[in-house]
Amino acid sequence: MGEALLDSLSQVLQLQTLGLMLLGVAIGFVVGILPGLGGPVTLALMLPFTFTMEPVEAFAFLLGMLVVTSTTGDITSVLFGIPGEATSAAATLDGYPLTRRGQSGRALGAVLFSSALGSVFGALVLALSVPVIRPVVLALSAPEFFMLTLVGLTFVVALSGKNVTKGLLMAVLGLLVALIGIDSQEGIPRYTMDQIYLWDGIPLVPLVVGLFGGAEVLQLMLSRSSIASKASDVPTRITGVGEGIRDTLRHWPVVLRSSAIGSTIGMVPGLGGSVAQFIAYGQARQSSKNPEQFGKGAIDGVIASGAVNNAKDGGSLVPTVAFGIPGGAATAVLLSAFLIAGLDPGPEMLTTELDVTYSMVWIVVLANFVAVAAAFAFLRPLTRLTFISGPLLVPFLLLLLGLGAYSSSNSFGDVLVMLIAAAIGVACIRWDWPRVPFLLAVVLGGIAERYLFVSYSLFGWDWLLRPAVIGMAVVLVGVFVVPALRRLRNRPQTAPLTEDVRS
Amino acid sequence: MTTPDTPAGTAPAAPTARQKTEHRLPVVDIVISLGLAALFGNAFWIATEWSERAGLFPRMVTLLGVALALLHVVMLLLRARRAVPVVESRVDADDEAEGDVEYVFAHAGGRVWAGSLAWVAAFFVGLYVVGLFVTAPLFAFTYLKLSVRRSWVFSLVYAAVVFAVLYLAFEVALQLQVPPGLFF
Amino acid sequence: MTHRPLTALRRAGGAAVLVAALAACGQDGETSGDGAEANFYEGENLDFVVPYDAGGGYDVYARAIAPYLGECLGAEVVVRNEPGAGSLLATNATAAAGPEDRRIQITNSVGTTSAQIAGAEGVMFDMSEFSMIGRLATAPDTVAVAADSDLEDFQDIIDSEETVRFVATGPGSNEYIAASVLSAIYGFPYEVITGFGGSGEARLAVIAGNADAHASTWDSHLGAIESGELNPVLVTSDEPVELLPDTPVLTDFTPESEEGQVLVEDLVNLETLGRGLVAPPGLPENQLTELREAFECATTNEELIAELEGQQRPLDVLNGDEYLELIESVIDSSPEFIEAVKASF
Repeated sequence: MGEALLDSLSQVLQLQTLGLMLLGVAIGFVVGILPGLGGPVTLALMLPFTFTMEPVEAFAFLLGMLVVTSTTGDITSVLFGIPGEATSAAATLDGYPLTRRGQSGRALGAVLFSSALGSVFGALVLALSVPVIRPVVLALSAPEFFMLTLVGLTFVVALSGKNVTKGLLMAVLGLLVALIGIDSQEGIPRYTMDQIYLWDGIPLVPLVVGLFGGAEVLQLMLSRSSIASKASDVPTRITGVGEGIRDTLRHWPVVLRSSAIGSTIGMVPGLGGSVAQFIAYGQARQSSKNPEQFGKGAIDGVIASGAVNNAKDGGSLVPTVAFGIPGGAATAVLLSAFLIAGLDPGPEMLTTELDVTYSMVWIVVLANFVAVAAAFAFLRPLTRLTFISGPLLVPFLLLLLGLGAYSSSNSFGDVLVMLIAAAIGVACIRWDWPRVPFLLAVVLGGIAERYLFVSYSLFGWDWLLRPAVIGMAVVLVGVFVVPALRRLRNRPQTAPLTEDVRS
Repeated sequence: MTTPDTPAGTAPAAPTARQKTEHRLPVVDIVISLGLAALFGNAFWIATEWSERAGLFPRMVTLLGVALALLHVVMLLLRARRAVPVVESRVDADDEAEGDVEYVFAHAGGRVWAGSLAWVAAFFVGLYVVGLFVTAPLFAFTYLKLSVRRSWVFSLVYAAVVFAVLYLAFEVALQLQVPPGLFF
Repeated sequence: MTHRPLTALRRAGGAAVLVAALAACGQDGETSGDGAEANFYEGENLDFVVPYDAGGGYDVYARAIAPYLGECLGAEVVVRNEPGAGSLLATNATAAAGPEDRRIQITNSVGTTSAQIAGAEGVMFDMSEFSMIGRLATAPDTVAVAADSDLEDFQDIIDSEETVRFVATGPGSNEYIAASVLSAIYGFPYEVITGFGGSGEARLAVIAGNADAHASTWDSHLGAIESGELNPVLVTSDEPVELLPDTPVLTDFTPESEEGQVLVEDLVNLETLGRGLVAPPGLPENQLTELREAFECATTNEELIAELEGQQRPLDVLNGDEYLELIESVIDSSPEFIEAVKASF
């Protein structure tokens, strides 16, 4: 194995391969920064160029591009509060507040460095697990996914902030929004208001972009100050990147746990990055020493969302390589690149074609490091952006909103969804209702329903007896009951009074 | 979806200030909760027409929603009756980030709100009617010139750069679809 | 990026040919009216709509053929993704577009035509009214089982006493239709489990042994077949698929009833509709001819054929008239068949 690893490294380090990877990284870099324009679309656009390439070259180009989009997607989230990808929503939650305090350098340093670490973790998972992964992937099925969505939904309570009832109400609203679309059991259009556009449900990217980005842009227009207007010490510490890196190292358990969550969820086709980020973010909050800082600029929240995103890419390659079953749209394109290159996924990838598999591992790692290094080089000018006058950024940010929404399905309906989401986001901030439980429920609601029905159809009621399900149920009870007990013990009876509603 | 997001920031801001020393009745929260209750109720009513499998989740979710929303209203009313006239204890160090944006939204005057929303509306209507390549530079120019009051040269250069970048990236390099406008 | 100069070169070459052709036309004398109209698309932008997200099979075909089509038309063919409602959204839009719109679309004709004959909600088109350009390729649904399944071939499925559990993303999908019509033909007990997030996930349930079979386009199975996880047992067509030459076809299994015979014929017709290329209804004759000629010119281009072969996405071309005939025959399917399709919605 060691030999194969080195052998594949030397393949990747060929001049032409490396050049193609850098080209891919450059494209992925830009695409990641632009909201809405995501990895899968770009891969599909670039696929024709790989027809004439060698397998390793093709992967260097495509994979390099793909893994970088999720890294740089976080940059837009942190700097402008507009998620660069649907999977970068969690990064806005704490990254953007840090930026507003003038600590964008620190936040970017943390999110980028944890991304790099996460990608290494994901790549390791890919390298180590490919030979042994089959039983694990096959053992995880709809019941486990359903339980995982439940675990995710319990974070609603934690992420609601001060007012749990408001959080729960927003979550129920999110569940209702998640129900919009054709139901997967009987094919009935639900809450579609006679619009065929809504049959596929509310698109996630416009929703995320509007919910978080819309309010921020409007805020800039109203206040006419710079993004980092809260900064007290403007020009002296403009970067703080080193601090972010140190933060990441200090919070290494968060990196590890989030990476593990990312690569596991990436590994099983089904849930995907938009779910993984919130589960990682939620667990980071659960285990944090200062959970009350979450949503207001907790650096461990930033680190968790950075690490999870990139670990998931390595994980998502596992089923593609091992079974020829892509976990998502992006890996589906990679699979066609596989077939075009004349490679057969499956056992061969672990024997005769092992060097190709390992070259993918190297590409994931190298591409991320190149991208992160390049991003660090650009950090200074990027963070400066947050100090210039806000209104100057407005035309540019509005463009990002419009394009980010529209490119979801090239329809004006997407822009409308974005605008409605923006209105909800603004109202939430104005009257102090939490936005995150809403988004979490939108992401998880539809999935929970689908997997509950699939679980029952596949296994009858026996699905409740599956070991992993029971295990997760125990965790769930732990997550719910233990903090509740602790709170009960710590808090005097008059507690509700101190928890006053601000409005 | 029916959350009252009336942009008239002045209206709700006023009561908060006035009631600081009285029983604070969170009017907006009650209105929002009642609105949500109505929305969930309506959604439940729609869901009753669906078959059992398709309707199971919607009915559960909407019933839960109605119950929660009403519970919230009751809680708010009870708390308002009981509440001592607390001086608003806004500890900004505690929640700087959100509180700050919230502050901006709450304290921007009606004219500023109307102006900003008008610009946003103009941008998106423009996007719909004449498409991206016309709207983007035009908006950039007029916004910078009229609202931010920058110089002619600055606004023109900004607009030109916006157009060039968009055109090169989306039309030439990637050939990606952008909002085309109604007439193209 | 090595590809771009090539395409550009090809385009330039195509333009040169066109210029020559035009010059030749000019020498014929005054072909004013006809000549001008015959080149409705030349020098213009033509939208080539894919009714799904980027990256899928339809998208790959469209992006592969677009530059060749553009070359043959002398136009700039731009691929646009308009996903939504399982291709109905874009297909409705094409049906509503006017001839002046310079829009063509690749269709999932199996899906759209069965939605039409089942009278499904949301169908605002009549497949036979589109201006047919032709069929690009077929994508017959292929039934696959896990490699280690008790069901070893399609005969096992036919003979099954127990319920055969198929998987699908949702009602109305091609996967669902194929499963329920097959059961109607051969009379085996079946169930379709829906709710999977995507076809890959559904396939995994079969590999894991949680369900029995998955009927999906042969090319979507290919990766898992080549990795040795899936065993293809039936191609719902009357001739084998090029890349799965050993897999039996539907007509190899004669149903007992006469009614079954009719259903087999109807299903084969439906499944051979494959991936079509259509323009808005009511296109003027000369415009349609221009498109059809360009289609023929592009699909006979050796380079394109080789390129698609290399991607394991072979062409299987029918011209516009043949394709229209095929679609009309599916719309006129037997009432039993229409009943069976309706059961899938």
